[in-house]
Amino acid sequence: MPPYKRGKKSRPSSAAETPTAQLEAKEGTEPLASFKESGITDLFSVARPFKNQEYKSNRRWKNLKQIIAQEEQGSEWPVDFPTYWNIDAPPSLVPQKKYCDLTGLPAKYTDPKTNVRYHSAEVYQLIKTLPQGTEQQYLALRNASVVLK
Amino acid sequence: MVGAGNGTVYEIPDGPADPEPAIPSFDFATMGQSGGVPLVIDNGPRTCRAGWASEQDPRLEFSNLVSRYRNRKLSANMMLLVGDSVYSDPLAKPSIRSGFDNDVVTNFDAMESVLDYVFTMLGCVDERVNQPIVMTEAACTPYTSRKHMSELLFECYNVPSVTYGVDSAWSYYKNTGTFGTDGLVVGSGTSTSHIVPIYDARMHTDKCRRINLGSDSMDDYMLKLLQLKYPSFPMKITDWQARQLVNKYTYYAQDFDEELAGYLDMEGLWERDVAVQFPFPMPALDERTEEEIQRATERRREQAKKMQEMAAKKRQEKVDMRAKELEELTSLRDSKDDVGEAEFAQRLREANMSDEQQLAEAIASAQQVVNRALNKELGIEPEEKEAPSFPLVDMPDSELTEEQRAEKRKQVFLKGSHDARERARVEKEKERVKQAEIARADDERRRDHFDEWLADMQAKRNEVITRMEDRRARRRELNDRRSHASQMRMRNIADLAANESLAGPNGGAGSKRRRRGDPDDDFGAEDDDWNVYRDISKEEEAEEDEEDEAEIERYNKILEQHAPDFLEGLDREARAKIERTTMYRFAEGCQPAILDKPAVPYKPDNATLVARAAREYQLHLNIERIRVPEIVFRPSLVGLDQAGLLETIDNVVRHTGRTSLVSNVFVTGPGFAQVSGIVERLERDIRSIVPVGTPVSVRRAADPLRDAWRGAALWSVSEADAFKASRVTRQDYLEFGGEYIREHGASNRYYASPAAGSPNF
Repeated sequence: MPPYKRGKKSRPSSAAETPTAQLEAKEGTEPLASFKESGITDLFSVARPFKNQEYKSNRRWKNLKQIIAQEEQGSEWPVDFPTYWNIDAPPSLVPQKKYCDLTGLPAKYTDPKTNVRYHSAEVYQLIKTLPQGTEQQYLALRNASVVLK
Repeated sequence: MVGAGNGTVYEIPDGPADPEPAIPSFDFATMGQSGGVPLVIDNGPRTCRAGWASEQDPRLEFSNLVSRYRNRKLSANMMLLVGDSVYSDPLAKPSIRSGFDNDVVTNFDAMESVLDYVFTMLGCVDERVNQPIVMTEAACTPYTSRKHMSELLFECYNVPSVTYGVDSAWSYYKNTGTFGTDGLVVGSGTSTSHIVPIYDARMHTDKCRRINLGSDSMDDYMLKLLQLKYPSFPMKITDWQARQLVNKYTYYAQDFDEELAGYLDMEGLWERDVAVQFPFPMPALDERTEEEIQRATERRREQAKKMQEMAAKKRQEKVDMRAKELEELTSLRDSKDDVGEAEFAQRLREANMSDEQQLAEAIASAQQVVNRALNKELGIEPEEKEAPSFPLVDMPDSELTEEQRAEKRKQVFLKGSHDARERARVEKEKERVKQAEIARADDERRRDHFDEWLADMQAKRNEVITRMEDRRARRRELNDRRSHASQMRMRNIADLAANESLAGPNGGAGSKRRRRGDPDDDFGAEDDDWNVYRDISKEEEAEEDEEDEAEIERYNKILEQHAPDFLEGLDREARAKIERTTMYRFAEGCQPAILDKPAVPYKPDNATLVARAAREYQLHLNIERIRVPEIVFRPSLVGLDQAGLLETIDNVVRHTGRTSLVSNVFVTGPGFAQVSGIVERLERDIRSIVPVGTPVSVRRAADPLRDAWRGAALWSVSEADAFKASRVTRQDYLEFGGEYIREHGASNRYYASPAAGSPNF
């Protein structure tokens, strides 16, 4: 198998060997044994007899947030029963140390104009020359940026 | 691990190695023993591992990703790639999906493809998957997710039974051999991390706590930090590359604050800093050897010489021609006496001469050329031309004839320009003498009072530099609309504009006043007044900068000639000043600084050129190495309002009321458990929160990645009774619903929720 070249060849490497067979193959008709040498790339070309052909999910899947919202309100759970939403670690109770948004060093100061925390006067000099909007990116690192809606 | 830097340069690859097509196994029937051996699937958000419980290691280990797409070049039908092969076709990239949302399976179309792949690759060619399935799921998986999973397994693959368990618990089992030993499992996942206590021979998800941070958060944080640190980096840093950096170079500081404070100190930075080299384009190099360069210079010199010779030859030819012409003309003139008048006139006509006078002029001009050439050859300088005389200039017009008057006008004009030339020459001479005097004085001063002279030069040079810096500062201030400089400028503009409009052609009172001459208006009385126009303009400064730079260049040249050491010292100082700054060390590690404009002109050799080109494509990891993994202990670093790892451990231990759990803390999973130093750090930190003398012991899974699968396999084989009791059969599924589980040592808790049978789920 020749090594796959990024961006040049736009097809899976297994197809390179038997292009015609791949083109003619209808979905899932090739028995597994015919992949003994070439290996499997396109799973649709392999017969999968173990599947129940009648099974069709055809559903719109909800994301985790929707699932949780639904479950949380959908039924009554015992107080002490562990659910996905009540095992979240609680907010921290210890005071949070402040670190320089640019360097990560301990930060003694906060720039009142941009709210960026910084370590020293030298870092402050740099903050002053930052292009507009960059300070928001730094703040976004710790989820403190101003989000305009 | 701290010493991973040591000046090494890590050459980072573009992306993962290209995947090979996967060869399926063909021993399903033998391995499965007609439904006797469980099939274990560790279904992780990043990696899926699957294989036979009777084996040591999983048969399959692949990225838990799916891409369903169309590539018309290959096939008219849709194609389905699963696992690492999603990276084999660039067209598949936009369709890559994962079945997971955080640590929970939500997209069961993708999950179905993954299971198809697992069973196909294991070689199943039967009508159904007739093996008991052992599968991992997240701690406290939502019922909806498990319900869909069971539905898929039972309805689509018709499996006989399924056992669900939590991956980190099984990893604990693999490393402990039993659930009988109490312990605290710290499972570091891809997007979440769990702290789960184990006692009473089972894991207690009811006392479990989850921190919503995992290895993805670290990768993401690393990527964002680097993007901000190098805003103009010429390459795009990929997620995959960021992950490599996290895996390879991050580590846990034992005392974060202490290590952080001194992280950028010169001392030892060399060991802490890691340079990451991205592929860079080779700069255009002068590949010639010393000898070749010399030969080329030689050749050039020879060529110049040849040209000179040729020019001289041409000149000589011209002179020779004129000499011959001169000879002819002279002989023509001389022939006047020999031949008759008519004959001579005839000859003149033949030589294209109108009369004798023209002949004389031609002879004179040719003679001049020949003489000059002759003189030059003999090395005789042309003597000073005699000052021309202008005899008619001083005569009154009345004494002159008409013709003389015309001549006089000409002479007056000529004399004027001659005098002006003379004056300029004298002036120039004076200036030259003056300059020579200054240079001489300068030389003398340098010779006799070198230090004073040097200090003087330096002062002058610094003055220019200060001037440039001031201008730069002003420019910077002008960028800010509200700065003092900007406001002054606006005021000036407003003032000028007001005056102008008043002074307009149809201006009112103001213009009258201006015309009369306002006694109060003394604008222009001093030269500095005009600076106001300079102050309001923003453009002219480039010109001034150029002038100043030229001036510095001039000083540098003089200094280079007379005090090269001093100049080098300046460069050294400038470099050291840059290298001392925190921001430079943060971004460039401990490499020598490159000056934009070194005082000593420097022509880099090839090796230096290559090194410089490489540096453009280099990142430096230093503080990030401890800052990135630290987010697990301090989620506030990434703005997450949750307790950190230590606080949560404390919380869980208190909640269970069993302090003894800290004597057996077990770390596993694909997340921060991989980061070196985690065991020591946790042990140290836990010791700081428990009563003195409490035994504290932290250990890490032998293989934090694979032990979950191995544990599940081991458990289902060696704890056969427990395994049998834990199986949810098809009967159970039909009777109790998809979310039903039979609890066991590594399982989640089950509670028959009142809504269990409701179709809403």
